[in-house]
Amino acid sequence: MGEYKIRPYIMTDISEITTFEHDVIIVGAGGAGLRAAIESCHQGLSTGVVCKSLLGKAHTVMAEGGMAAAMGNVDARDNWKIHFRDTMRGGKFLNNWRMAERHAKEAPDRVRELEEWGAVFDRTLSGLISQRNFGGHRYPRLAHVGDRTGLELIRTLQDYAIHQGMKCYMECTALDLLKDGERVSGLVGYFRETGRFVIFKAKAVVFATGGAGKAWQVTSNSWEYTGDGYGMAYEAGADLMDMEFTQFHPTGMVWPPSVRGILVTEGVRGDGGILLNNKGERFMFGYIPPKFAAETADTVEEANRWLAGDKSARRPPELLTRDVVARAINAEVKGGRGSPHGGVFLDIASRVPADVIKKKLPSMYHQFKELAELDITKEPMEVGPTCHYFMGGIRVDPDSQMSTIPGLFACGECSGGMHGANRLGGNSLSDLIVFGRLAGLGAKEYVRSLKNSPRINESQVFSIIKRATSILNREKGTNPYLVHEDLQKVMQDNVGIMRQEEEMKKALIELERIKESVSQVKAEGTSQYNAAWHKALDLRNLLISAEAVTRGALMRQESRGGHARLDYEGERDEWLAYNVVSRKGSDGKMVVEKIKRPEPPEELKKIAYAKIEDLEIGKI
Amino acid sequence: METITLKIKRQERPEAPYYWEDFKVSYTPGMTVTALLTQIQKKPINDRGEATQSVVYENGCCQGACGACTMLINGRPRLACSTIADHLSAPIVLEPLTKFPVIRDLVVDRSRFFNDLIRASSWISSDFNNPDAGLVIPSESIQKSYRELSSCTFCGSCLEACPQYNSRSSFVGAAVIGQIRLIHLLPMGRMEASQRLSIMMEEGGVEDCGHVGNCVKACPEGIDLRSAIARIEREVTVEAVRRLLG
Repeated sequence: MGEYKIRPYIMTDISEITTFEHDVIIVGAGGAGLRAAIESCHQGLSTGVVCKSLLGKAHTVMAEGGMAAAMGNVDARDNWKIHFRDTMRGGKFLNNWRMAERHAKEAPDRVRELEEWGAVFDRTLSGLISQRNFGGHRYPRLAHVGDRTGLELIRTLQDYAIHQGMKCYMECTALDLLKDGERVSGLVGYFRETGRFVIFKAKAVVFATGGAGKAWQVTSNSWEYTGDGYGMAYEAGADLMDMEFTQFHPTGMVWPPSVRGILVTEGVRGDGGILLNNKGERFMFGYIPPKFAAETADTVEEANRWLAGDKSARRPPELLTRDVVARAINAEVKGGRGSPHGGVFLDIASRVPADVIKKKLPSMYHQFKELAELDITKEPMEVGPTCHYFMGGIRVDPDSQMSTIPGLFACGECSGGMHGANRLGGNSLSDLIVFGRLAGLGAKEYVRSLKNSPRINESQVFSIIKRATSILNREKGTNPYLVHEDLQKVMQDNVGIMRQEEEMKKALIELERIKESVSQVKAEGTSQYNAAWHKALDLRNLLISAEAVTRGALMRQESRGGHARLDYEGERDEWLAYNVVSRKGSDGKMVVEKIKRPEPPEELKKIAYAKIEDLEIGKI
Repeated sequence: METITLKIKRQERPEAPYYWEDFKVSYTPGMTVTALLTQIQKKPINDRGEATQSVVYENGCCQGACGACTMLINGRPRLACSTIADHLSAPIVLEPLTKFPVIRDLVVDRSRFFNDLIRASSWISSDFNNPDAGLVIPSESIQKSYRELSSCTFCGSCLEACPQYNSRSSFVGAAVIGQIRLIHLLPMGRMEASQRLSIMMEEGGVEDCGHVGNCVKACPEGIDLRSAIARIEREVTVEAVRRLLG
């Protein structure tokens, strides 16, 4: 294999590039990617996993609270129908019905399967898998490992995937898909360490690439979250759906500045923490939406009884869905009732004994001790909203997880539909495992159905490599770090928690300007572990993601879940009938359109809109 | 705004010689080492005012959960994302881990660590879709030990601190032994214990441990690796006797 001299870059022969061939290539080694890999291996397919960082460092490792599954271990009244109903209500009924159904039905089996592979969840006194309360979930439902559920999941899945025969290509970034006619034939990537390009030839490609929170300034997302899957799928002609629904998690750290945005788990509120403004008021009581009023405590006394374990008491308003709590905090801060550093107070110290806090929330305790020098068992934390999750993503078939491109599958955060307009906490880990498995199965079906192997088109390979190397080759240009900061500021200022037409139109103009900067971006040095080059290559995908969010948000003239508009307040029934889809038009520009949603099956509709009592007694 | 000096051990390529470069970066109290390094990336200019290459470093979750950003900070292995500059004496000296080959600047190649985990079969090879899954109820004390060992983030601090872990030996190191102990706490894991213990008996296995205990001091999670190692040593002895008696 030839060594690359990147500058000047002369490509003579495709045989200079290493090619790895697998039946299935999975991009991303978080929960969804690893679960897809396990399934694909188990189905007898040769499986390669391409991941940007080292194995085990993927975003899933940061998941704290737990994995939602209606096992009914802590409250026997729970069942899949109630989980399904909670998910639909949380998603403001925009969820893909079939996905929400499969998720609720299959999650308990996936939890048990993880235990079989070596995960150990926390236990109840009688030895069952314990479940914790979380926002929007009617019953304690989150199987958890302290507040480090993600670490346990990642370790278990990666060990088991290696055992199953997954081949892993670490610190390797995917650049773009290759196609043979309409169908996928593989992808081109590069190893971050050497800068060497690589071709992955595959019959099917599964994206498990996560979201694009790095397009905002304040985010809980790590450097990897640059919308690679969205960008690559879009460029290859796939549909992106529901991109306007971005979740701002209500509780991120706000102080000190260098850690702003880092997540404070919802588990703090699930375990009894309350939100206070600078007047010491428990302000969430003033923000209960009418739809949830019947199931939410309206006095401090009732909320306290719930915490004490009174099953007849209703849930405290701090545990309303994330979109509601984030907007409430935003309103308190804007109204001058915020904490000194622009957040609100989250108090668990005065509610729960210190030793219980340390046992149930050990990493929160350490996180604040180390990063903010604050003892959460003695003092309240300061928290504020942080960009956390993309509900939207690549449009997929709810059963096979195949996108609109034959052979391209998507699962986990990078796919759309499951969570509708707002995701419930804990539904993400279960989403990864349920739909990761389905993507593996979907890929198997597809691969078995192929009559011949897709071929690699050399000119596609060259054009992908040329795009990447031009960043190194041009004489001078824009600084990728500054272009990224520019983009983050535009999105933070104009497409944040509360949106309006004027600002979003401004954002689109700014994004056009940034597009120009991105096309002129320059990284100094060679391709050998060049952080500036890596950053520059991420920019295209971030920009596509940001544009899809902005255009979708501009089109959807209502407020629903993670998408809130000052100029169109409240949910509008006419919009419930549509998803907003974006794709690359024939002129290379982004096309956005409303597409009609299919009618839900009668049976599921009945469950989703049922009275909770009827579901509990099994009447429905 | 205050400034702080970072003294960074740099190396352009794996085979290239290293050199030191100083950077003055703007600093506000509460900043982590990772946040300081980000400043250099945005403006790669050294303390002599010369434009230079961005410093390359590993970075993951930024909340101490993933273990990607381990480096030597003032001579000690620490996570850059969870180390606040306020308490460090200046200049802050940053070096790559010494037990792994340098790829560039502060980034090292940790393949040996991954390969050792694979060599030690650090997984449970249970049947797929076992109907009994999740029915085994671990006792309180096993849960406690399990929880401690499962908090390992594979950051490599214990390996950096260990005198027995180096390029001249094939010792797997404390983290891998901790993982074996973790798996052996579970009934499913114990079913294939013999195979893992065979590896622990070979060269590079648990008997290469020199019992210095640096691993315990270095572990950012405070895992009692010494007792995990002692348990695996005992398992190895019992296994050896069992094999002797046939």
